[in-house]
Amino acid sequence: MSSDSPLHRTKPGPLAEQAAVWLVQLSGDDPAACLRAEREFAVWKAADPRHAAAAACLESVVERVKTVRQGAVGTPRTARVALDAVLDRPSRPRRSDRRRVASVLALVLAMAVPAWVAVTDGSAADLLADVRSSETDWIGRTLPDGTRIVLSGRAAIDVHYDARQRTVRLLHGDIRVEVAKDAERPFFVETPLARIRALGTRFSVSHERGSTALEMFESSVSVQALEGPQEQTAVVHAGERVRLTAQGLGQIGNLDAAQVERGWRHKQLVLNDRPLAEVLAQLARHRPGGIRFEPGQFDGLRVSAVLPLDRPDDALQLLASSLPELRVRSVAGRWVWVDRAPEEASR
Amino acid sequence: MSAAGSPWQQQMHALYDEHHGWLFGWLRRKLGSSDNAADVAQDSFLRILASRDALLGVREPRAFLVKTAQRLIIDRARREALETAYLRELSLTAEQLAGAPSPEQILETLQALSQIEHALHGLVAKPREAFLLHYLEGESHAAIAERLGVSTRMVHKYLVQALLHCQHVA
Repeated sequence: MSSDSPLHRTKPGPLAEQAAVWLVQLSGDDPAACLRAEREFAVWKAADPRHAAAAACLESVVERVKTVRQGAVGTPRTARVALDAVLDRPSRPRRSDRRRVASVLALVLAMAVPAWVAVTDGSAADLLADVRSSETDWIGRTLPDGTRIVLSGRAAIDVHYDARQRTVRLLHGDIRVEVAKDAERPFFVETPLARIRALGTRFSVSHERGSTALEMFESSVSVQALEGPQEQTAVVHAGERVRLTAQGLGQIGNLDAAQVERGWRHKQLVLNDRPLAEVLAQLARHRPGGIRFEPGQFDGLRVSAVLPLDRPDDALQLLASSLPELRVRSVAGRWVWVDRAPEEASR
Repeated sequence: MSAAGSPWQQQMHALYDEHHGWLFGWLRRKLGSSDNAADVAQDSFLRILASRDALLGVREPRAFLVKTAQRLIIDRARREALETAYLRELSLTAEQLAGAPSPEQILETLQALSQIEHALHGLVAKPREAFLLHYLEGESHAAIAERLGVSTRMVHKYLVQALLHCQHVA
């Protein structure tokens, strides 16, 4: 069994132990003792190439930590907090394979890969629970009444159907809805900010912290603002879009419905004069690892473009190449920051 | 890497040919994502390649592959948790930093942190604490002794223990 174990820790030999004792003495509190240790350590290393090798091995460990301490971004404290967050997790179980499998599953879930749900098939029973999708998903579902819903990117909905009405609660993300006709039961999409009653038909709804957007493709819906000064209601027609915030209903704007809907089919984001912060938020829902930005930074920047939602990094590059004010920086290909370029660096 | 290499290479090729597809399928079911499954399957074989002697004495190649892949998944989760914690902490303290850090700097630090984390993994609390206080935060032996409520002799022992624990990744 143990021979099947990949990567086992090697036992330190007596030379490594000696080298470690020297190294600790080198960085003691008494400067005179440190100097003495340094001289004697040098002699010890010179005495045998195996001594030198054992020492080099340990010295490189110390060097690596010192690099973080001196050259790092942030303070040693930043590094410390990050390390503690990981090191204090319960360590992996060693004895029981069964427990190990359980912990793998727990960790995988902790990695926030909701793709588990994404691959289950769309049976009606499943739909009565949450439906979730992750960044790279486009999930189509047919509800029991024949209504079609597409979840694009990171999104989640709850479906509540009863004898009197049909309600889809959009928790976050982007959905496109094609409502099946049912004269008996009205159809609603709800977000924390809006209650949308379908009178037809085809539309999309996006919701994320503090902002709900509705885009109409066919026929019309009536929208009720759930927050804001008073209970505002509006009817939104095909070719129109409206945004709701904590302040209530925004102004109704225009939309190239045919083009936007085509975008949904081709995994494209079709934008006509939209605030950049809103666009970045939408892209972020389609990008594993997300996009970090300060929404307030981009006041006044607006975007008209067609962006590939299934290739969010390309979309970001497109944005950056047409907006010289933008600076896009990434770490490890996973973490992306977008901010305003410093003045002198603007192209 | 030629196909007709040492017995070890042939063994590796056979392992890959016979089991890669199966491992991919297993991972796809576990992870629910083809992309992740392909990555982890590939990395599993790379890890076995990197530890050349690991194939000796393997009687059940699939169990062995699964074990390797599971360990990789755990490592990835840990690396991810580390990145998240570091970047969150960094963004909290960003205002106090001189100038905006470049992605390259951040990446470099993340790589070093990940290596340190890997090295310290499994080390008991007090030696780990002594090691980080001394080498990362620059505390003196005496200060550490006080913090941990032990003698400086004990701090020496902790540091030696920590260094030895770390050396295997050097």
